[in-house]
Amino acid sequence: MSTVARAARNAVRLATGIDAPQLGGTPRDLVWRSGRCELWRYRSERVSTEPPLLLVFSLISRSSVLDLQPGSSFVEALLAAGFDVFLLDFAPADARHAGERLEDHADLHLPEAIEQTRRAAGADEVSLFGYCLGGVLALLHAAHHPDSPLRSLTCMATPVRGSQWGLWAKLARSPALDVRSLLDRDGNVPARTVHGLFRLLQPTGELRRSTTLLERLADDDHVRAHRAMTAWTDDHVAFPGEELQQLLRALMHDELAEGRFHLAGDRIDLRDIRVPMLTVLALRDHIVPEPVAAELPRLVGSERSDELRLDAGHVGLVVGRTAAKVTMPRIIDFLRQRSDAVAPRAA
Amino acid sequence: MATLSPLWRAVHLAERTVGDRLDGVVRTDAFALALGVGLRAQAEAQRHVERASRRALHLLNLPAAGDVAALRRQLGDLDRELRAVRLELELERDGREEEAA
Repeated sequence: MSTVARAARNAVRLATGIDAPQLGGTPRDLVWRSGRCELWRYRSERVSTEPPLLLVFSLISRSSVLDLQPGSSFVEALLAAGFDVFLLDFAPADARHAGERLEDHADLHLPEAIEQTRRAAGADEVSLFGYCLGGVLALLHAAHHPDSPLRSLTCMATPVRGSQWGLWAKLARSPALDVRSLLDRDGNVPARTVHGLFRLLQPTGELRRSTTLLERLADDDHVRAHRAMTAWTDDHVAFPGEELQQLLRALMHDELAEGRFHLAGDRIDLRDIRVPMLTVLALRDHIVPEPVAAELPRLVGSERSDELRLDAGHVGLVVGRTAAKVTMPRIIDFLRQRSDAVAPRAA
Repeated sequence: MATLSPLWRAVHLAERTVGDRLDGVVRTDAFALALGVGLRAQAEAQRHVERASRRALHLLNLPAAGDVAALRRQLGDLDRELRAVRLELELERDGREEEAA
């Protein structure tokens, strides 16, 4: 097929929405559900590593980025490496969840999910893995519950020093900001506001992506990847207002990094985290820039606190060719070093 | 990498020029201040409309959307409390079973 014909075909597909990519296609089963928490277990015929790996995703976007497309899926790579993979996901917040607080995650949802993961996998421990705000939840849980049955903790692109967060830090500290102005009638930050705040990080990001798309309209792989990524980036989720207020204190006012943040009345000290830890930093991350995340390895009390600094963007850590060839193998290598080989079995 | 045509080079150059300038603007304190003020004004306007519609609905003895949202929020709070109690009981039971074993 000629270049012009391919471009025309792709233009029609984009305009009409036909052949839209199906995100998050790796087969999985719902293990447990409570409130807006959902624990999923990905099917595998060859689990050859224990303990199970529990992924904790962010609160403000869809977890499908971890399993974006066949051949470009973090979950697929973990399954291929023999891990028994579980995902703690959160349904979008509605009026019932406006009062949800970070301690609900650290003290209730994560302990429940860890317990359910252990039961389902028949394991004594889990390896906890948090991405972005999911990493913040994992840190809060591990610091507030140092006796939690964790083999290791991995935090990927996880913010801790929000005062370095550019526009968001300026906005959070601006005397003009009234946090209530970000909330909808339900008391949540609506998805469109979350989306708008992300767009501000790269005001011409969409224009740039559209220009590149036009230029590469005849490239089927690029168009497919663009559609999948756009489907994900345009799909943020509503977020509880109470949690926003807490995160502003914890991150934007550096309370978590400086040991001044309180959860359920207890002061949270990241030095109480003692399990082996890996921090993964994306050096070209415009969403969680390096200065916002880089300090984490030195804040925890783990005897073994490793760091992976990768030449990737926030999403590029888990999606794309660099992710498949560089990022994922190095993360998997760390996890393997802290796991035990077992006879292959089905999950 | 294939050589870009002059047209695409020009497009990318224009996009980079505009983009870099816009990036510079949104990183300023003035922009953050203006954004905060704008958000506050928008929220106040919305609250004004909602207050008016709530008064009208209450006159007819009907619940406003905010009333329903408040009730749903209470339900959510109650649900979380119950789950916390259930988790505590389960952990206690597991602890007793381990001791007995």
